[in-house]
Amino acid sequence: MDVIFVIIELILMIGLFVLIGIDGKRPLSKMRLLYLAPFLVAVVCATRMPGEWTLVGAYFGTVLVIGCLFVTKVLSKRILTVISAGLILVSFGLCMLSSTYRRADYLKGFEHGFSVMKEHYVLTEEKGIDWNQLYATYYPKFAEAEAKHDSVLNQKYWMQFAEEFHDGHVGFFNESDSRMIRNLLELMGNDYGLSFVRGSDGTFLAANVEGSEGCMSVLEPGKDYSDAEDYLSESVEEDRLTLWNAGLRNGCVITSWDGKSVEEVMGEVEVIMSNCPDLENDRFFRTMYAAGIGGESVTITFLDENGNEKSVTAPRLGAYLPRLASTMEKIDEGVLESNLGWRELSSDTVLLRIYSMSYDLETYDGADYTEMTDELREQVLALKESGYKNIIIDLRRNSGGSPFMVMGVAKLFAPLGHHVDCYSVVINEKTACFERGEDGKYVKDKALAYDGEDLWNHGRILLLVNGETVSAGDEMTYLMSQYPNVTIMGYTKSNSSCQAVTQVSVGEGALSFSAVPNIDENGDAFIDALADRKGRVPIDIVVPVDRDMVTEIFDRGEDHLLQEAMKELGDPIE
Amino acid sequence: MKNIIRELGYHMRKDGLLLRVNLLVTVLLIAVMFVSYLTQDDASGFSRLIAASPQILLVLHFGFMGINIGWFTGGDMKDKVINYEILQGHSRLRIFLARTLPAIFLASFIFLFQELLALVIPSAVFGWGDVISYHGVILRILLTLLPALRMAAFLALLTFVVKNSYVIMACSVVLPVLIGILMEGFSEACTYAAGYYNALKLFSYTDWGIYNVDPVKGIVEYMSYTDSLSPSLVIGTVLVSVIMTLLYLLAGYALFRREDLN
Repeated sequence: MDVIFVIIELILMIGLFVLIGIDGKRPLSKMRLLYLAPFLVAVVCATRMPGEWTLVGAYFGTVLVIGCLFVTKVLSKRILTVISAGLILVSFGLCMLSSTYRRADYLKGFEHGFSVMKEHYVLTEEKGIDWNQLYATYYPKFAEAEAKHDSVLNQKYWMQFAEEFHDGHVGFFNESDSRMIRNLLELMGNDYGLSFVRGSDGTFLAANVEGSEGCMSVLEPGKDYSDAEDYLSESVEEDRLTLWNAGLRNGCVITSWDGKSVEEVMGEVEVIMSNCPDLENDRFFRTMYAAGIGGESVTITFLDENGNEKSVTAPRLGAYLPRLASTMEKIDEGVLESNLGWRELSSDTVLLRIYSMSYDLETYDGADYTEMTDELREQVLALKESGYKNIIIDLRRNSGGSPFMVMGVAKLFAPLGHHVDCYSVVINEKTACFERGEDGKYVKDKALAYDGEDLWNHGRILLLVNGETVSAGDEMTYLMSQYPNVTIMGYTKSNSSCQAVTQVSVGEGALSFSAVPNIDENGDAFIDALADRKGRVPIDIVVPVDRDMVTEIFDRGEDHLLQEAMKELGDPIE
Repeated sequence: MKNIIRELGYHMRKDGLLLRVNLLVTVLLIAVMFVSYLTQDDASGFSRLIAASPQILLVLHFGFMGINIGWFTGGDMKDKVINYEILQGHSRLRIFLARTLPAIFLASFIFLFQELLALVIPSAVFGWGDVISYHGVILRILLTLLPALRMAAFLALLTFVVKNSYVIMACSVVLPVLIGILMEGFSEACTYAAGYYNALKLFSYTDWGIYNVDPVKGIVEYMSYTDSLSPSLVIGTVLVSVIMTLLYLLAGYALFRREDLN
């Protein structure tokens, strides 16, 4: 918009310069109006774009040209026009060179976000949050980011701040996707050609190794990470198969990283992209980040496929973010199916994919999911009629949504009878704040409840979850874990974050946090992990993470968790 | 200059049309307030309507200022009365100031008066409630005088540009629609970009908004409101409104100063 404004004003100035000469010889009837044109254009443009202090010269230039109406000589008018045009050009140049041009104030953004969150975050007592300590720690950091006008630092400190809460609903979202990607490319470290996965036996396994068929290549980061090309090393073509040539494959045990254990390297991870309240989940994901830590090269010691210990110096290939995202996606991504879509896996088993607890825009804010439930009921009964015995409900990477949709689905499989999901909390309508009683617990308001229909009492139901099954996804997992024929399965528990969220604008982005409490029968926070960082959503089968899992996923591109689920059902995929 | 003002005032009183139009606008605005209150779900007092929908006090008001400005500033432009005033020996500066200054102040004070009536009468009928304080709203309305002056000065400038009072009066119909569209682009950073935005910011009471979950209604929203005005907003409003008003008047005079009044 600034560019358009400057271009229009310069065109007007050039036009005025020419017309002044013509007007001097043959007076033009509307000439006087034209002297006002730059000013009026500035007024109109101002309604569509906020003021910018570096453009003050330009604004002044548009006013200065009004002075042409006070002078009579052609030369004087032309001089005024040239000065005005000069002011506009200089201002625009200042804009482009200024590091503060249309940039948010990071420190003000932090102070605003912090004060709002301090007042309205609903798990302060439950998670033992020390706000004074947080302010003392982070104020200097954001002051540093503001002093350096550094968007990367701002992003980093917000992510670190969010991590302090160990709450899957607390996070920072940059207003610009492209800026966020560029910042994360800086923050996630270097790509040496592999990721880590933490094995169930405590070892660290190589995954997504460069050169493996089906794994990510540093030369093809994906369309979301096109900016990663700027981070490629000059010798990437020659270096990219260093690990492969050294015999490092998917599933190989990594014994040391630059002379340190992987556990030690994990301690150097400065930021993570999504928060895990459960400590075990946190360790599982944090391991993957550790493979980005290092300088221009790292020395990796590993056990090859024959169990021999080897060492290789891996040079930096590029930015780690694309490989990290690829690793997470390969492990965590559920079945590619539409939301509430069915897929037949065998003659006995069908899969229902639910990646979001939203049905359509009309129902999202309401409580009435009858249409969805009726549709689903028909489908379930038809499947039962067709002879299917098992349902796998894939909740992997379920990002949450409406609790009413959760109940609308869960009721079909719940035992007969009345079931309570959770309770809302009494809200003070004047202050719009939730009330706590004298015991410090939230005051219970209304129950969210449903009546079970037990439509699938003849067979088994398996829920597939992971650490990115969050919010209403957590809620469904928790509710259904109580049904007798339901088994919860995954490499890790679900996220354990179930309070409802809101967002506050903090300059260059938004800070989301838990702001609407959901409580259980006893008035305690529903589902969320507390200060002990133990996830409270049960899991029945923790699928081992081992070499087989890594090779299955990264070498053969299989959905290993789904295969394990089918084995559990006694119906293995051929 | 005093004589010019007296002359315009005499015509205004004799004509009566301007007075009737302003009365009609006032009644219309109060009717809008009544309808807005009666058609909303919450009947807990007029304060909730003002807090939740502050623009309701502004959209029509701002637009209808064009009627007063157009009449007072350029009502006699077609009759070439200005030419006669120049022949009588009045300077262009005096003629310009005699038309614009009373016009912008009169229009702004009429705007203020209409705002106050649109607030006082419905709240006396329906009750005020306790969402926001009464005196807080009065203070904000009084502060809105400054953006109104700015808007009036802009309309006065436009009158001297188009030299047709009926066009400016017709703008009174278009402006509320335009303002409604411009409102889509309102953000915190645009507070001083336009007089209307500034007024809208002065009328922003929302402190915090959240929702709760109800088993029957689904997602139910709740808002808390604040009465306090930030000192920076008050200072900014005063400074920007005064500067822009002066700039508009300067631009208008610059145009009028050596204009060929054919």
